Amino acid sequence: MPLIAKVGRRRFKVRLLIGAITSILWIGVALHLFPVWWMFTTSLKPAREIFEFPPSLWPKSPSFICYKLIFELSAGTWAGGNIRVLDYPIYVYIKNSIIMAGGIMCLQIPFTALMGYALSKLYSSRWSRIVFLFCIGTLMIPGEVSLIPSYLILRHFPFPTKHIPVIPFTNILFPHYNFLDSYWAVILPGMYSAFNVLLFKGFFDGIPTELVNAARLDGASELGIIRRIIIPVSKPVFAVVTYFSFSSAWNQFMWPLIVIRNNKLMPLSVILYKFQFALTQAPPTGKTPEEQRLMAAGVGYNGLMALSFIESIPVFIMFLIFREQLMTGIKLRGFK
Amino acid sequence: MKSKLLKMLTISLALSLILGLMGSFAFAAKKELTPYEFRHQLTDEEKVKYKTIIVRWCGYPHDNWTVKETIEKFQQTLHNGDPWIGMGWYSKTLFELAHPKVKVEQVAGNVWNSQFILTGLAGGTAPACYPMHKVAKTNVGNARMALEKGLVADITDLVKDWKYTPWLKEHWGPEWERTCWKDGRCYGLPGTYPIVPGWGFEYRRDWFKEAGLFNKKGEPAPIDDWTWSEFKEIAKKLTDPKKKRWGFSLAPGAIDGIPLYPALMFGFGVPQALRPLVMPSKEGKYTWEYGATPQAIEALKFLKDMMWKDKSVLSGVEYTSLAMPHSKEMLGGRAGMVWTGNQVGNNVGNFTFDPKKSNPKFIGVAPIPRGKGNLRLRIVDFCPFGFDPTLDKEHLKASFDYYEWVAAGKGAELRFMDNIDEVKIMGPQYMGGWDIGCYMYWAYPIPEYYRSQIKVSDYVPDDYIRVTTTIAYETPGEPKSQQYGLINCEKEGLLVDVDRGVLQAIVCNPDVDIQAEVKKAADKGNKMYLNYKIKNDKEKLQKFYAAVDDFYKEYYPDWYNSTEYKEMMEKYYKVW
Amino acid sequence: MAIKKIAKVSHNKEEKGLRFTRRMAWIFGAPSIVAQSIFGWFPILVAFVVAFQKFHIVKPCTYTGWDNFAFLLPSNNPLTTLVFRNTLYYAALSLALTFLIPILIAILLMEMKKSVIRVMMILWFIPVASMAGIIIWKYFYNTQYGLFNGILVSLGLPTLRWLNDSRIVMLCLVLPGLIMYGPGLIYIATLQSIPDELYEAAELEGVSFWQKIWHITLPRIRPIMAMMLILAIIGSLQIFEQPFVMTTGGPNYATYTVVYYIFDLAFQNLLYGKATALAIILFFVIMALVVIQRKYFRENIDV
Repeated sequence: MPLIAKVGRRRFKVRLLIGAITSILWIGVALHLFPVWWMFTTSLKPAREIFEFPPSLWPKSPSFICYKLIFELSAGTWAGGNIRVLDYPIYVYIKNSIIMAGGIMCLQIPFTALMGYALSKLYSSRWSRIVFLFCIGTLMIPGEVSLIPSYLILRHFPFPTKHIPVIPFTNILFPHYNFLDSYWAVILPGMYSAFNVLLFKGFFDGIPTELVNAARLDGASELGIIRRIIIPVSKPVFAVVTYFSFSSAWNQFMWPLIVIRNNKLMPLSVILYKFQFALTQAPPTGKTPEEQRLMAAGVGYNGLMALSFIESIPVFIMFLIFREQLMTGIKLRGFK
Repeated sequence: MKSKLLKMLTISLALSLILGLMGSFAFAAKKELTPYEFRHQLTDEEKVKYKTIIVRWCGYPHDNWTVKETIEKFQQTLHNGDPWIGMGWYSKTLFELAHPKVKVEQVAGNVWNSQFILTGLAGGTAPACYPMHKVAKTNVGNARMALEKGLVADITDLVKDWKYTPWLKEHWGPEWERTCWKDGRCYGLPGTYPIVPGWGFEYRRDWFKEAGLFNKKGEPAPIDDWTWSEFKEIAKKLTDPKKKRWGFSLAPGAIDGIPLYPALMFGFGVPQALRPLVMPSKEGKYTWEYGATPQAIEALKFLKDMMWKDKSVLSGVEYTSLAMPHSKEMLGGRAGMVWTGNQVGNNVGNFTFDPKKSNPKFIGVAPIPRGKGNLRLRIVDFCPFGFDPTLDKEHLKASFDYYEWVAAGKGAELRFMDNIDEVKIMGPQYMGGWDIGCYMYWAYPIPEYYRSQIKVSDYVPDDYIRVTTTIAYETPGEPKSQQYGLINCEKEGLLVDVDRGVLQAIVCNPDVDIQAEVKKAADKGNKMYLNYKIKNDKEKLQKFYAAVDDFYKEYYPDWYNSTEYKEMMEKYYKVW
Repeated sequence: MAIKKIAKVSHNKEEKGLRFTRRMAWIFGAPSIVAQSIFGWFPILVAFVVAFQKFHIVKPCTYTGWDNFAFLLPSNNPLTTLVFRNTLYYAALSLALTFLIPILIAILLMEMKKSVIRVMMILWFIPVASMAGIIIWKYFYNTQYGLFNGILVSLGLPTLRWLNDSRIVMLCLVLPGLIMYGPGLIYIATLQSIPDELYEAAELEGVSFWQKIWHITLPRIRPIMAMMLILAIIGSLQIFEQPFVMTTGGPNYATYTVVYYIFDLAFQNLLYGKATALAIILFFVIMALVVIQRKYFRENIDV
């Protein structure tokens, strides 16, 4: 409690101040959590209640029917008839998201960690500066500049041109591969992250060089040093990097929208966007058989909220796993 | 010792890297090439040796073939009782037997999606044949834009001595010429889909009954000759804020080709020979300029009143994207009328006689209302198909042959045969929309035997047939500026963005100043899209507007003789 | 003699060790360097070439000089000024409303008991997938069934048109960020490193609450604030998802931002050259802003 002195806490003015601060903070927490709460309760509401106006805070008859219906309607196995809301069952899209996010994470973290270690410990200082600028330089440049060239490069990897050149003196085209419309189109550009290198280097700089040198003199190999000295000590930075790289890979929207055309490979965030209208039909208040079926189906905004909830779950799980490390705070410099 | 180990490690790493690279080269070299690369690879001798010409097809037997076609999938579909796909396979195989050099490959994708076609064209993986207006990202009326952009192949040589050319010229002459012919060269063919003229409104019969609106025959429907003001009244009567009901649901643009806007304008007197808010330029620097005549402003004010005074229109920025949310509003019970935006014939098929689906008993179809002096716009969905311009002669001929097979040859006959069997054996609820439409308006000659096997009036309600055939065909079509070479079709289609801005402004803002919005849109339209000058535009404009005059004189004499019309033409259109 | 020899041997060993580590450095760094050059620097070089080409769909691209940039000149293209104005408006709103809040909350949060801090931070950082968040807020703003209009109606006030109203639509896009922001992790970390003795010493001297913040806390956070400001500027000038998903460009181009225009040019109209030209213009605008900002905050963190 640095700002408010410990002495004089019983004075009324100070207590008022503390009370004011506490209430502001709790209101902030409530406001922040309110959309999450709303998402959860809406996904529990049956269809009739969604279109009540003004909407209610807690469903009068909560049920998990919406989740069940989402799974059934998307797989086309709903018993009530032949409605197919999405092209493929939901688990296909969840699997896509997991593959993309997991692939990016598994490639990004080892590469950038090794790079951070090399920059702080292995390079001579002159090379270290040059290579560091090489790695970090793209942070300042907005992603949109490389958007279209990346797309063109992925089309006939690694040539950004429409026609592939021929190997000189022969008739054979240069080897090339079209990565578009596959998982690699999303994973490959995500293989490297300049921000991670920044974090790793900053953290490893805080590990004293004498420690590493002593280990080297004792005859340890570089990999051994990493395994035995660096990793046990850098749990915070690994936690932060893992969480943020997973979270940004999971929340990707624009890039998969551009490079993937086939709905079978789309991640969940793009599907949520594409099928907003498939899932939010107007209130079924009529008497026709179609409307009665939709009413029985009970899918509307609650379906959309259910999908949103499903999409948020993995990020939440990662958060729970890493919350200790995140909460203790990562310092960019300084290591005790 | 350690350095030796390290040396061995690095050498083995390098070796494996090199081997891997070599392996990947080999792998890449063995990869199956696209037809484009394949064609480019072969020398002339090899082309003779490899007799297989691959036609990439995306369409009949089904538009949305999303999975890789395999024999297992085929068996599965047969097992599910879907003979439609089986018949498609049979037809394709017959064609391949009749043409030993050709193999037809069904590609996965949606040929009605512009992105799919355009990226395919750019990458050499496009289907052989696609709708022209979709590839040019414009509406059906401006399919010619694809021609101007060079996105479709020149098929004049193939069409010259084709056996169906005289028939097409006789039945679809003006439309075919307007959309597919340029300087005596032909670039497209009528689509393998029913050409259904007539766009209109869908309405809910039960709401009409409740509101007590009946036509002369006693049906809960608007009269065939209803006017725009009657439309406004009906929308007001159907609106009920307590029950959360609106009379009309509108999508203010983003769906390409939504012709409600020009239909409304035409009803108020703006000639629809070109885009509603485009008129010849007075300054003479460019050919056209963006601006609104008083009649156009009147039409927009009509929309604004409906939206904000009567409050009978359900619309907003949420309705500007994705597929047809406004029509779902009608099904869902919030809107009483909806502009179909699709061919009416398609909806005929949607509302088939499966009692479990939405049925024509509760959704009716009405034609476009009439405006001043009985003006009514004719919108014909002539949906031409073009061929991939990167194809070489052999592939083009093979694709053309397959198209003929599917449209007018044995393939079409098989398709009709399949339809008849489906209806007779399994009942009419299994027929899709296009199939019923086929019996009414197929673009090519089909043997009378097939047409006579299914009596359409047995299955389709009276008003659907009346609206699509009688009323739509009876409406005369006005001359269009494309026929006189007056429009740069490449830029013309992009004006829809600007129009959309104006519509959105009207729909989202109750205090909208229509003149100011049109001025803002004119700023964009003039600088970005209308900045061209056609050669000899004065003579062409004179000829064109003479034709427009003749059209009005012959078909709408009341309007032609009114002073309003004369003033409008003198002031805004005859400005040479 | 023997000592000299041993010394020589050990010197050689040290040199060998040094060379060894240098070689290992390149081996360790190789995959990252390769990845960064293919996907980091190569696209940027290609961008500067592509911006001067015209892409035909069926033919290879042709060189057109400055045509693409001429297309984007404000006198030729009213959309350019429109998108930059919209984007700068959004950036200004977003920075004004959402930049200071994490700092304030972090400062206030440090006043609580340790256990309360722990609980609050966990609650504050519960994540919602960004797409899910946007959809939730779009639902809130729905004029017929949304929560906000529901609240207004139950209070007896007239409903607002939210996303349909071009005057407040930009504010509606910024609002999610305002409400869903918590304390910034980085600020908390920095605040934790400020020793308590400083505050106690100040308290003894009779310094008031606000003066403590002004004189002790803020100077410490200043370098971090500068860096976060740069990142916030760069980030807010590049928004795409909110306008794309919530309003598709807004009522009559009111939320049409730069990146949305780039996306439209490139992937709806297939004008790759012009889109890249616009991206390069955006790059220079961002560079200019960053340079101005760094000059203003003269001390900068060693990045």
